[in-house]
Amino acid sequence: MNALMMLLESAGADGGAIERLQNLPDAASQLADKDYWSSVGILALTGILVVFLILAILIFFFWLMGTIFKAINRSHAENKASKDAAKTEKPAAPVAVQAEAAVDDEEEIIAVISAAIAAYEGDGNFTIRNVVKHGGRSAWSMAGLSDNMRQF
Amino acid sequence: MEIFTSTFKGLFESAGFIGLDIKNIIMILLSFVLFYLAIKKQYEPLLMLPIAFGMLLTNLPFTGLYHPELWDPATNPYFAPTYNANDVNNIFVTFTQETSLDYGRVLHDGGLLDMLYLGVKLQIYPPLIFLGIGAMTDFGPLIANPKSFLLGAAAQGGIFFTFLGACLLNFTGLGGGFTLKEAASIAIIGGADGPTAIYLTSQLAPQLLGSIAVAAYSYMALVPVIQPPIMKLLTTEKERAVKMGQLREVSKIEKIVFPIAVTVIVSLIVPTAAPLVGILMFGNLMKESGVCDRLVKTAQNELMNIITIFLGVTVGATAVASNFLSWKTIFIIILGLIAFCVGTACGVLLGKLMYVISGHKINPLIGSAGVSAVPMAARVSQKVGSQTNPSNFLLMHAMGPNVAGVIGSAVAAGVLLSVLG
Repeated sequence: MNALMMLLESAGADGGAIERLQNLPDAASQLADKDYWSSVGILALTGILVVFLILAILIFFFWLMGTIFKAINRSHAENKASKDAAKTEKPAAPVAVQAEAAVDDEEEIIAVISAAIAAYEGDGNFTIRNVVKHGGRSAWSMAGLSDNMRQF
Repeated sequence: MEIFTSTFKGLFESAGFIGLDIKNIIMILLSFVLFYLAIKKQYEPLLMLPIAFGMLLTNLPFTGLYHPELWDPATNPYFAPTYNANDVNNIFVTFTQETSLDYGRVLHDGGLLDMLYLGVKLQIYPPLIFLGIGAMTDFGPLIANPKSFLLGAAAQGGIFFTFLGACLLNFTGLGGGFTLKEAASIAIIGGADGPTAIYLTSQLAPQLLGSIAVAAYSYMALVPVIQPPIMKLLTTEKERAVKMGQLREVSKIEKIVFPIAVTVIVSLIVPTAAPLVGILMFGNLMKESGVCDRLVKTAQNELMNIITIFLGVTVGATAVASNFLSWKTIFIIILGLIAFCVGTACGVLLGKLMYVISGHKINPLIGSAGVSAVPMAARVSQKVGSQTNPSNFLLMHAMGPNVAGVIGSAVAAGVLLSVLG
């Protein structure tokens, strides 16, 4: 007798009844058996409970695994960051370069936006007063994402 | 002249149309309907087309490709030899009839499709299809959000609800007349997983294999039609508009541990699910390990394609008129639809519960993807979500419950097989 049959019996079903029902030749004789409905009900209930039980065990296992791996990754990242900080003891020049790069990037983006608006308007008769970055995905990245997802 | 007439007469007498009856004609016409659905409507064409052709071949008289009588223990019984332990020469042998098939006779008298059907009957094809599915599936979204397993479990509610429904149908006297094994085989349609449905039905109710496979694959193709109304009915616009946070990145080690852990945990609790879950995870481990590229390519492509052809054409061949043209087929189609709808509803309802518990962070629409039907059900979640809010991208979030549904339906099949097999 397998473990599930034992579980069914502990849930109140008569394991012998399920075996007996299976040996009956047709649905009518199975239906006439006194233990038909109790066996069917408990089998359906136990079935869904076992599915939930197994998947709950998997949730716990992979939640635990995820927590461990996240902790490991965090400590790796912290170690790496502290090592990098120890290595670079010359902050002035790189920061200036980074700041310059950021300014260059921004100017480049403003130039692209201006060119796009000029192309859209058809003439150069406009003034850009302010360019504000919105949180979340940009319109361009949203358009690209929508385009990629269209096939789904 | 006499030779000519006798040859012509012999040819005429062995011609197929002599054996055609109205049932064969109906089945042949039905196969034409399936051709239309596969080619024109593109309903799961990779399987629907072979199933339709198998159905056509098996219903053409005298082709001898498939013999249903060889697959029924009543007409092809196996007599097991029992040897006398004291007789070293095995002279005193008795034979006991067992409720099994005489496979020797199948090999001796069978046609081409009988030989190929051995792969279904001996549980070879469905696990091999799962090998390919495992080699193609990314379980990353499920590992990143293990709670998705719950949605994959909830959507299996359709299976057990329909099991009760099929048994209840017997009680109402409306018809059906399904035994427990038949009821379980019909209910598994709710798992929305073709290979699992074929695997379970070939063990419990092989006489219904054709009807159940056609119903299962038809409904899987109709997922984009069946699911959205249920999803919209059970959710509010506010719930459908929920944007879910980005999933965390999953490391390679986690992806390698996943298939091994799932195999061990599931097989230890429900060993009968091991042929499906174990082989699914084997395919996935080959993929994630990154060291079996050649094997992975074969499992994903050539092997999967070959098995799909064999599986489709032989399952179609089981749809002989005597099995298919009955009220049971009509009830199977109705119960299959109920199984699908209830499975979807269970997934969405648990999604709603998780929406409340998580403080409105989970979109309940991803719950419907728990019915497996990879990746169609996840696409439906994405589509319905983006209809409410075009900037909402639920696809990767829905893939978690979707692949959890594959594991869930295989476990459900294992449970049913364990008790009723």
